[in-house]
Amino acid sequence: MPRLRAKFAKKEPVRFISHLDLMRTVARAVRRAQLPIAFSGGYHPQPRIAYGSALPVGMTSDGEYVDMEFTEPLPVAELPACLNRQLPEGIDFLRAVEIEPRARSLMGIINRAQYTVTGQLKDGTGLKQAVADLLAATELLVVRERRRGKQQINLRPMIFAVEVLWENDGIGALSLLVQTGSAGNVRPGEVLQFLPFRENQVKIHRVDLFISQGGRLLSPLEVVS
Amino acid sequence: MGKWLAVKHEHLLDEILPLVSKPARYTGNEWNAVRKDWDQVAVKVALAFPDIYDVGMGHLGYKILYHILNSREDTLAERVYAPWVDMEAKMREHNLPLFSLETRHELNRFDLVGFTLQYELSYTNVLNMLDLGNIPLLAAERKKGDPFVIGGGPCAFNPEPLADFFDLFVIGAGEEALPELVDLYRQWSASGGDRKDFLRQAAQMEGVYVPAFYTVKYNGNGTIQAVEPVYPNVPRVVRKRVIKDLDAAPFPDRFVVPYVDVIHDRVMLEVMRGCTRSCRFCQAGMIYRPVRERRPETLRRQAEALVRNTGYEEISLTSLSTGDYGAVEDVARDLLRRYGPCGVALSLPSLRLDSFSVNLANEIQKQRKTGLTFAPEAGSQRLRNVINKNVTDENLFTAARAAFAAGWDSIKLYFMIGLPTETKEDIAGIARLAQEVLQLGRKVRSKKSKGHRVKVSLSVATFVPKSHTPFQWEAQDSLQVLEEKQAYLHSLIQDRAISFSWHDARTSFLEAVLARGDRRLAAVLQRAWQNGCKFDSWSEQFKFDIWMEAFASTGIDPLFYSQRQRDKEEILPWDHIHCGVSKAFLWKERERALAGQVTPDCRFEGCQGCGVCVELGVDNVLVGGENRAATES
Repeated sequence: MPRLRAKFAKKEPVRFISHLDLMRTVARAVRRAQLPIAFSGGYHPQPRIAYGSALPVGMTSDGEYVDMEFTEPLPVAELPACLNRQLPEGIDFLRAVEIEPRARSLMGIINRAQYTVTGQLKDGTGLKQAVADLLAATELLVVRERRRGKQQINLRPMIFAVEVLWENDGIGALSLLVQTGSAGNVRPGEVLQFLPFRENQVKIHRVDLFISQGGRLLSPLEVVS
Repeated sequence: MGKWLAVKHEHLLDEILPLVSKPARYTGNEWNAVRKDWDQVAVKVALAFPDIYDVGMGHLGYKILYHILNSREDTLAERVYAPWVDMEAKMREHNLPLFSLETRHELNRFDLVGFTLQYELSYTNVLNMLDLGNIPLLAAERKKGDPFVIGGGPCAFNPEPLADFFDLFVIGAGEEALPELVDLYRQWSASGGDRKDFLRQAAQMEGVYVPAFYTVKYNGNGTIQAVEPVYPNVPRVVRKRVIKDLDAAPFPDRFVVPYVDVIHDRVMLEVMRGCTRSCRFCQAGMIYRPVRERRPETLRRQAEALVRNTGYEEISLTSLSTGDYGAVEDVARDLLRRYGPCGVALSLPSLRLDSFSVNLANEIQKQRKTGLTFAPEAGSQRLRNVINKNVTDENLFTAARAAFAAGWDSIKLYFMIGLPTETKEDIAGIARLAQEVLQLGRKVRSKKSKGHRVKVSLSVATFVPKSHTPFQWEAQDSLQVLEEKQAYLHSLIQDRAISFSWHDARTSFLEAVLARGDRRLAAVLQRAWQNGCKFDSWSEQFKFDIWMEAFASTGIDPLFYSQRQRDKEEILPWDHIHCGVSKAFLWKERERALAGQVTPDCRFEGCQGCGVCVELGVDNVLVGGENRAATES
């Protein structure tokens, strides 16, 4: 049973669909493309399609990943085009590779996310200074709601790089590399607390997802076994 | 102008959408959505559904009209839904008018704006959408350049409460009438006539009702003295449109596939229209006659195209009573065979109460067992005979037994309270039946030691007398009596395994007022809406006090509409709208109801004289099939 891993983008026209919506949309595209997708067993057979990190409503991305299991071999290189023909504007499959049957799941290996944050700035402290202050801090505390109550988390150790891309006339953009996944997760929205963007005037874009291994950032398309 | 507005929309929407729930309801761009070049198309039609996207997207009628209108090169049809309250607040705050999903044009830019009237509690949403779309609420105030506002759907069979707000109504099937209206619009548009010219020509069309061309006079006691046409060539009576041959009727080969979860999110195959079981409370059974079944071959063809073009994971066979479809078993088995292996499930919405249906349901749901629902409607045989629901206790138990034996753990039962001649015993009968079904289930399932899992869910609606039914003369129980009955039934349900759900009686009361209302209710509707009423069918949005204030301040007594027993001779507000079934037949059925006499189904036991076939030149169209034989036995 061939397992394929594909990279795709979620762009502006579908910015507001949720992760569940996305899963539904891709599953239906797979059906329309009449691809030999494998199904799970049990009372409600689901197509064997597993995603990496879920993308929140309102966020676009150039680096999302999904694993698909098929019942028959198919030409890997053609998968993106085949799916794109069945997908509405805004979801773009970019590349696919074959992964080993026993390869670890995306959710299990992805641990880094890179974002671009663009938006209008509040008057006062510039972006460059705010970023410098952020990087100089040892503690960046946020409060998260958990089932048992509130929990205080320090984001700083999970923020690996912040860089101002440009700043001009009250608008600015920066790049952010943070930890993501079950071992620790930073939501870019949480980092905004420490940055001078105007509320509700930012757009967050996920540039890509990575696996940090031995000091290097690898693409999920490289980690196939 | 259009392009500038579109750009303005983008910017505002970007700001607003992150702040509202389920923003993808408002962004369109779905697979199979049809976007045409606005400036290249002669006639622009808005298909407006007076509820949110999640509800409106499930409406099959609009999928059919969307397909028919967009198949024409000279026409475009775009969808418009009511924004949810949070989105509406933002829209009003930012002066963002109601716009279509496909090309984001304001509602008032369209030539024809259609509203499907599926239920009375959506009326305030209609007014709200007209207001949000910057279209004058009153038809009399619309000028050159304003759209023509068209109503259709089941409530158009008594459209009188909405008469002041609509330019015209299409009574009955829209598949042929709407394209004819588009043709008429093109001609009129080229002729340079005024609005009245268009409406006068439209009034000549079969099935088109232009309320402004009728005056209503009232008697001293408030009843109607006469409904009369204003012009000589306007018909005294408007007869519904009906599609005779469903196999030949256009049906979409693709549906718009939403991103968000909406109701009925699956392939829908309309196996037939109409129902002649003659349940006496049921308006749909009267207004959609005769029965016209589709041939299995047609359904197979439609299924093939729809599955291929949508990628949906479920198919449903839809109609008023799919269990009665002659070839249901044949079609179901065929669909299972073809699509089961690709992981496409099949669902049947409603079942007839006998073991045949349960065996069929079991077959088709071998993989996924969705809920099983039965609708006995009344708790005693006596009352079931009154309402002509041809079902016995034994039917219910046999079906339930078969269902539990086949592996179902839970069953849903639909009942109604407030039916004419209802007694305490009848209500007690509901609790008794639910309890017996539960016991039965426990006994059957205990063999697999699953007895403890058995559940019965009891859903009890409130009877609302509807136009064009044998009960259109009846009084609805008062609010107090209804609430007492609900409380009584609740008190009889002891077992925790029986869950009980019921409708707020106040919404049923309002529904009853509007369902048999006349033009005088327009003032009430407008006032209620002005003071904040909308989404009345949503329990958390329903504002009963504001409605009551609206009645009080306009001097209209709602009980005149809901709680008054009408005389046989009274002119009813909808008498000039004909569904084909004669008033004499309805009265005769009422008498038979009071005498507890059952009326058989004309499909199986000969014509009962309702009049529709003669009046409209139609006939029942039935396919053969194993189900037919089983039904007749």
